[in-house]
This record gives sequence, C-alpha cells and structure tokens, in this order.
Amino acid sequence: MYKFNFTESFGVYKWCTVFEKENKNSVLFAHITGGEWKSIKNPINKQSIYNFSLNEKKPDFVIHIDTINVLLLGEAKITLSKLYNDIVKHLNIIQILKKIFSKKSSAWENTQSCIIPTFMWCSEKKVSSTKDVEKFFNEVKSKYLNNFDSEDLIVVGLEVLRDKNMCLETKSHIFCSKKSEISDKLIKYIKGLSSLGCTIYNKDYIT
Amino acid sequence: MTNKIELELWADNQFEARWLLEDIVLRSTSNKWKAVLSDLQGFIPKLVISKNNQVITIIGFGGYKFWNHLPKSISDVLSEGKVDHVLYDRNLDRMLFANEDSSATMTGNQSQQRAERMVAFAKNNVPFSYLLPAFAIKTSDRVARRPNLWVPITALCLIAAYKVPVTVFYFGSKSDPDNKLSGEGTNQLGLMFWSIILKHIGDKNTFSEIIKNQVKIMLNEVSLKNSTLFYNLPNWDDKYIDDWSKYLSNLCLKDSKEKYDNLPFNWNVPINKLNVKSNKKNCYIETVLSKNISEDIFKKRAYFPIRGSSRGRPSLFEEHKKNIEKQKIIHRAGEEILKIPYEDLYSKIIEDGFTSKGKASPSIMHKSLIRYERFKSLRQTIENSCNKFKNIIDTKNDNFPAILFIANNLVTNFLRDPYSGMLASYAVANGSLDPRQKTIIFLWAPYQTVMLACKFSGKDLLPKNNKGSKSWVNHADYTLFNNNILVTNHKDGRLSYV
Repeated sequence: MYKFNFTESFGVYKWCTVFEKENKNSVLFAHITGGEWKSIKNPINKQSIYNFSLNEKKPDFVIHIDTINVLLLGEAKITLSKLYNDIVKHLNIIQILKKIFSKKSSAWENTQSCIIPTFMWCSEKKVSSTKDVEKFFNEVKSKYLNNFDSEDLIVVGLEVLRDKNMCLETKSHIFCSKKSEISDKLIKYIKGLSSLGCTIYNKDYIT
Repeated sequence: MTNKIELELWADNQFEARWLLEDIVLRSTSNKWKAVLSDLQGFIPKLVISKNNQVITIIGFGGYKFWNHLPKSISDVLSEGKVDHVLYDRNLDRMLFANEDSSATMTGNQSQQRAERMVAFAKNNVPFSYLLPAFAIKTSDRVARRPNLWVPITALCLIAAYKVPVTVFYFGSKSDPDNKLSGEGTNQLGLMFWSIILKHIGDKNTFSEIIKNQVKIMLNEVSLKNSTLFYNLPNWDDKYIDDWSKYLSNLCLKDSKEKYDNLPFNWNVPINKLNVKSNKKNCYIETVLSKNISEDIFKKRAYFPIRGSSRGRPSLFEEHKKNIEKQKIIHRAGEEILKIPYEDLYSKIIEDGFTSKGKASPSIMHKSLIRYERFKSLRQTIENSCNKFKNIIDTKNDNFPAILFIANNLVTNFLRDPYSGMLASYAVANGSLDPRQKTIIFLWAPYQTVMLACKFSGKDLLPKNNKGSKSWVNHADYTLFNNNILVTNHKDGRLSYV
C-alpha cells in the first residue's frame, strides 16, 4: 500500500479518469494538469475552445457527457467546508464559460449543452453525511437565486473518499430543484460511475 | 525463467504519469509486447508489459511531494526545480531519465526558464530531455516566435561537461505553432522514453540513433539561427557540424575521451577579432557601475554577445514603488548585521527608465548579458565603482573570461522564472564548466536585497532554501546585490560578503 498526503488534485484526477473510462473524450479541461491548463480543448478535434489568460479565474475541471449533452463545470477543494468560500466565484466562472460554450466554432459545436455547476471534495474514511451535503446545496441554491434569474437548478456534488486502505472511491450527490428529463438522464449516468452510490436531493426521487 | 523488472515513473501530477504510460502502451504493443494498464488503490496507474520471458512493471506516481516514498535521490535533485517526469529504478536507486515540457510560452529567453533543471539532472548523471516549441504564439501580440539558442547550446555544453545525453526536442511549426502533435519532437521524446526502457533491460533499442539524430538537430538549429541571435558565435563553422555531432554523441554514448579542442562553443576569442558593436552609451539607467560597464563596452573590454538592444517590460510607477517598499522590509531582516541600508533607486527608475506615461522599465543596460574578455577588467570596473571593493576581490581569476548577467527584476522572489534558468544556461553555455574557458560568472541584482537570497545564521551568511537560491549557489561566482553588497561564493558551501 502506497501512502500519500490527500489533496484535491488526486480527487480531480480520480473523477476525471472515472469519466474517461466511460468515454475517453469526456475531459475538456483539468486545472491541475501540467502543460494543459491554459486552454479548454475539445478532446475529439484537439482544438482550443477557450484560452485562459494567466491570472483569469478558472474552473478546476470541465467534463462533457456527450450522450446527454451535459457540461459539468467543476470547482474542487480538499473538504466540503472549504467549498463554501468559492461558491460565488464558481458561479461567476460558470456565467463566463456559459457564453463561451454557447458560441459555435470549429472547436465546439454543442452549443445547446446543459451547463451544470459541479463541486468536488475529498473525504477520509467515511462519506459526507446527507445533512452536510444538503446544507451545502442549499447554500449554493441561495447564492444562485441571489445572482441569477432562473430558479431551475441542478447541482452535482462529486465526492472522493480515501478509505482505510488508502484506496480512492467515488460517491456522488445530485440536487435538482425539479424532476426533469435532463435530471433523470444525469442521475442515471453519474450513478453508474459512483462506486459508493449516488444520493439525490429532491423529494420526487426515491433513492 | 521470467525476468521481472519494476520501475517507477514519477511525474508532476497523476495525469502526466498516466499519459506517458498510455503512450508506452501504444509503443510497446506496436512492438508486439502485451500491455495491461490498471489502477492500484483506485488511482495509481500501473502498467505491465510483457514479451517472451520479460515482464516490466511501471507504476506512476504524480505530484512528487504528496508521496511518502519519494526517493531521496529524486527529492534532492528536484530541489533545484521540478520536472515533468523521472523514470526510476528503485532496486538500483537510479534515475534512468528525466524530461521537462513546460506549459509556458517558451519563446525567446522564456525558453531558458527550465535550464537549471537540465543542469541539475546532467550533473547527477541522468539523461535529460527538454521539449520546446519550435514556434509558439505570444499572447501579448499573437505573433509566432521561436525559442532562443541558449537552451540547445547549454544542452550540448552539458554533454561535453558531464558526458550524459542532454537533448532538446522541438514541436510545432510556423504554420501550426504550439501544437504538440505537430513536428517530430513529441513523438521522438516518446520514442526516447521507450528506448530507455528497452536499453535498461538490455533489449534492442534505438537510443543511440535518437541521441545522434537529436545532437545533429540541435547543432543544425544553432547553425540556422546563430547569426540572427549573436553578433558572433566564436569558433563556429558549419563545416564541422558532422564532426561535432559525432564527437558529442560519442561522448555521451560511448564514454569516449574526446578532447575539448574538438568541440564547439569556445568563446575565448579576443574582442578585437570579433565583429561586435561598441556604442558609446550602452545603459538605460545611469549608475556609477552601469556607466563604467558602458565604458568597458565602448573600449572593447567587454561586449554584448546578443544582437540589438532590448528592455524589460515597463511597469507602472506605483508597482515599482510598492516593490521597493517590499524590498526594504525584507532587507530589514539582516540590516543590523550588514550595517548597510537598502538603497532606494525609485527616482532613478522612473527618470532614466521612463518609457511612457506613468510607466518605467527597470532595465539597466541595453542587454542583460555582457561578456568580458578577461575577468580582470570586470574586477577593476567593480572596484572602481565603489571604494570599499579596492583590493577585496581575489585576482586569481583575472585571466579567465567572465560574463556579467543582470537580473533587473524588482520582485520579491529571488531569481524567479525565467532568471534562475537564464543564469544556469548563460553560465554553462558561456563556458563555466569548460576547461578551455572556466568562465567566471558575475550576477548583478541591482534592485534586490541580499536578504532575498540569503539568511543569517549568527554572522554567517547562508543561502535560503529555495529554487532561485539553489541555482544561484550552483552557478554564480560573485553577486552584487542592491547598495553594493558583494557576495562571493567560495563554492565550498561558504558565502562571504562585503
């Protein structure tokens, strides 16, 4: 067993590889990658969709779920509690990137992609309680309603657990303000990638 | 009987470890090996390749500092700057190969910014490769630029000095800049990795061919571009490229004892035999020392080896003010022992360095690299610029050539990128390791306090433990900090100052 200090970069890597195993062209950007953090690239045609300037605020990852045309724009921190400070920053990044992804170009043609705010955090030995995650999602929802017009919101939480054997496992959490076709498809997809299951935060779903 | 070998691939992050292992999957399977890539502990990539009775396992660990079992030998060399990959055999405690591939736009002198890592690995006898763009777009003006020649020259000088393969690979082209998949470099680097694995197990490989080919490419690069970068590249003649290529390849592949006389990059030529410019005024910011250096250039005791004049990017006056105030605060840590205050050069910068409304450049001279034919002239110039230096600087180095490198920056990281790499590559490429030259390296950091680079232990001056200071201690013989604090590096771990 190899011992390591747990950081969010391992969490980002873990989730990116989980998505890539399902579809090798799903990761468009991961901030922690050496040499590849400067631009969001379409992995199919290798073209740059957007180039970040050096000091521009960036997401930690961008994942495209091609089969349901969903884009997960992700912010990652080592703990759930540390994500609270970055909710507004992340929602602002999403607003900027929404415009980028809605423009058709030779690099990007999926202009109708549904963009989902996504948060990733790491846990030790046991996964976060539903209560803690619900509290966090409520905070995201209130910040979202304060800053944006729409009340229709889906938020994805991607958790990485380091167990006692230093193995990394995946657990997902999905909040949706209302049941919809896209939430159904998203839940089904992400549930299939989560080794420790997926919790849904909407009373219309029975988990 | 099965022959098993286990290697570790250390990388800057997990992605880079996995990408390289995926590349090895492609190369090995196309050579009829079986390859299985899996994960240990849910995320540690493990590659097993096998053919006949040979099984090779490579485990990838990304993010050096996060792992408890990072070998000390790797950790020590990484303290001089992290690289993208290190291939390691734990049973032999041996680094087999390392490479660097930067995401920065490595054009012009930015390409030198990782050179200190080339030197660190070569010094530790580890084959090293540096992947650079042949062309890259600079974001400020969207123009495609090329890296300068100091990196390939440094690599070739390292081969000569340490007899270890140090190579530069290029990707992209003028019509397809920044594209790692364009050009030959990325593919050749991948082949190099694969050939090193095969070489390590004693299997048939193309390592020698790749090195020979790459040495020739680097020499051709120097041939192609030297007249645009340099006024003169002394003792350079294209007709020797084939011979040099053979000598240098043999040096790092066959452990042969080629004489240095057969190798390029001997700068030891009298200045009056060179076709160099010697303007009367060679400095932007006029201090006693900069004017004396300017005079040395005019009188042909020294020259700018690089063509033209250039000036560091101007900053707002307020930025300079803010940085100077930060320098003053840092300086206070040693002021009581030094008994020398920080010299505030703010007025000088905004008057002499003025470029446009509200902005000034701190660049002192028209170029930041100056070659002296003999250290004696530089020593006398330093002595004449400040009374306290009279009879202080040792004359034992007087007959060696010298370079003066000016780190014009004002920020509070000592030798931050690209300066630590520039210092390393200027030193090596100008002959600091070459027994024909033994070039003396003099660094001038006019705005930076010595306390950025050093700390006191009692009254002893010690280098701080950071990347910039490591490069500094490895390469600079003398350093003149703000307000004429001259630090001599005795190269035995001791620093002295006056």
